[in-house]
Amino acid sequence: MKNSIGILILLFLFCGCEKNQKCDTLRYTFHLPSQLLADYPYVKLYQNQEDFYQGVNAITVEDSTNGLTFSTMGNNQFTPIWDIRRADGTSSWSDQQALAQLADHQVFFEECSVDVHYTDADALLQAISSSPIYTHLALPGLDQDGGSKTWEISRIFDEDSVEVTERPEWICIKSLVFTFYKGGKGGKIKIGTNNGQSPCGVYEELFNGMSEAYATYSLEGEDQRELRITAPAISDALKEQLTFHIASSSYEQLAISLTNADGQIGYATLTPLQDEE
Amino acid sequence: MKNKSQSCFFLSLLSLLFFYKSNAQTLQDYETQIRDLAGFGNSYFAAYTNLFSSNFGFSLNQGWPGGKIPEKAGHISISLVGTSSLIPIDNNNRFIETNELYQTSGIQVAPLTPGIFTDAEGGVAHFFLLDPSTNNRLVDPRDGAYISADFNMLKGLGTRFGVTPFIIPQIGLSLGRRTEVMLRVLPFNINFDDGDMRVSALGGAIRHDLSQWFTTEEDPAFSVQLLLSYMQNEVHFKPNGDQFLTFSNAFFNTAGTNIELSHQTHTQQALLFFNYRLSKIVELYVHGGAVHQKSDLGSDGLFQFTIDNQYINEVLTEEQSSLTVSDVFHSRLEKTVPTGGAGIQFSFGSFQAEAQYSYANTHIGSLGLRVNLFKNEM
Repeated sequence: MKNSIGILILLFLFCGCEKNQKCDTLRYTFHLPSQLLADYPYVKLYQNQEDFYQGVNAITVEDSTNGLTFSTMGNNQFTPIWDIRRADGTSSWSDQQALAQLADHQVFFEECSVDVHYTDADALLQAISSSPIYTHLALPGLDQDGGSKTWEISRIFDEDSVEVTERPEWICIKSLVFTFYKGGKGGKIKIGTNNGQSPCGVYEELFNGMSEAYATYSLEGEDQRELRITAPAISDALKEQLTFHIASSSYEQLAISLTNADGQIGYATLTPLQDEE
Repeated sequence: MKNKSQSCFFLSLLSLLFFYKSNAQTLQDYETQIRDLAGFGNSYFAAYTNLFSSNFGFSLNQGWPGGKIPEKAGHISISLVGTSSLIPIDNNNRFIETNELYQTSGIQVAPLTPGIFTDAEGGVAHFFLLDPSTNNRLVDPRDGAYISADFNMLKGLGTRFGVTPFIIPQIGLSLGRRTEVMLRVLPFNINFDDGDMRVSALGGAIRHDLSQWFTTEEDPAFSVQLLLSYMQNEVHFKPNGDQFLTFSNAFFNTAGTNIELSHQTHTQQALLFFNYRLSKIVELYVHGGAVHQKSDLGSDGLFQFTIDNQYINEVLTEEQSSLTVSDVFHSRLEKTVPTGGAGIQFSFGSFQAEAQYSYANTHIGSLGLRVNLFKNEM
């Protein structure tokens, strides 16, 4: 009787306590279809968001003979971020969740490794759909891996194409400079003032006594041309002042339409400041 | 201990909301992302516990004895029965693919996180507060830090097999006409550093010899029995308040939270046993039938979540920055499966030992030790 009880207990201890090997860190090998390179010559992988923003520690293609292969060690904080760009600036920046949905994971626990396959090439190409405006806003050029770019409003015209840059009703927004950080939808933006001027008008609410304020930005609408700057707990009036329509964009110039505090519509051109972060 | 602590932190992620209480009206703009968060949390918790939850009830309702049933009334036996699922753990079920969980843009996690039986750390889930109109992440205007919180995912246990071990005492009473009823009861409480755990299991079975109606032989070597059984169990875990579901950073805190976790199963089963007595000592049997399991994971108590008012004061007054949530977890698994297996019973005077294998959703092993008291003639 005692022996039998002992065997019973031992069985459960054996089953319950014997440990496998520990795989806290896995070797991830990503396999992308080779036709991706035909349209998207820039393909890099980052281990986390911070590296992606700064464009550092990028993992580049390891082998392109039979599909594109990327390999990296990933611990349990590993959140792969793809930076895939077409020549026109269209990118994967805002599409990370859609790309993750297309991944199929095959685990090899004995080797602590995992193969990640993106087998649906059409779906993959379709998922990469972030507007080139994102790259125009944040990078000096297509080949820049990461960082930020600061823009100032150089000229403003009214609806009759009359220049109103120095008019009092436009001077408050004219005094602002915008630093867009790489990131896509929900990327960070820092708003400051030109030449140390004090913020004025409705923008005082945003700065709240500070010399610069952080927020996030995104391109809304089906055509991704409505630039919205999002900050927590701000008034509807300020939200309206922080919404712009982008008429055209390039790495050297932005043409936007905007509204001032009096409800007047203006058309502004923005140019990059020389001192980049 | 560490695992429980991790659980606690992750549970706080899950707790952000199921159902608002009275002050919800001014928070409607945030409701979608909070519901999404709860949806993610539930899908993760259900996936993490799936191998255990989907098999525990089945295994608990195994281990009922085969073999001969006393003919006369008044025979009493006492047994100790151990059962466990033995779930093969392989590359297909070691990790949870997080892209198969409920998706929301407010949560960022690693592509893989361990299941309950995988020996690996769980990693971190990042929760971001989003602007309701653009779904953009919100940042602190002062320094650009995302308004977010990190929560640890659950660590896997790391066992060779997936197991659901349980040992329970059983008492049997014969009613005459080769019919026996059996009762299993196990209540206990455990107090330890992380909190209090109450475990209870209750159930019973009735088995009846069918073959007596078809033969005049008094003690046939071959017999057929019908067994109907029911088992239920509950586990309640009440973690110590200051260690559980409590976190605080510059944006959020959860002071005042009080959550109790629970897991319940209900299982009904009908089996036919076909016994063959090899000798006075050894009896063999096979059995087959169907078993139904309902498994509920849930929680009682309230979770209180406070967002620093300066980040959401467009919709909140100061008194309203706290959200109180009930019914944080709920997930149910319900399944009916065929079951079958075989067993061997050894008799040594008043003592019996029995080993049984069953397949019901997965492999289940049982061992039973029985002592026959007031042994009327068999």
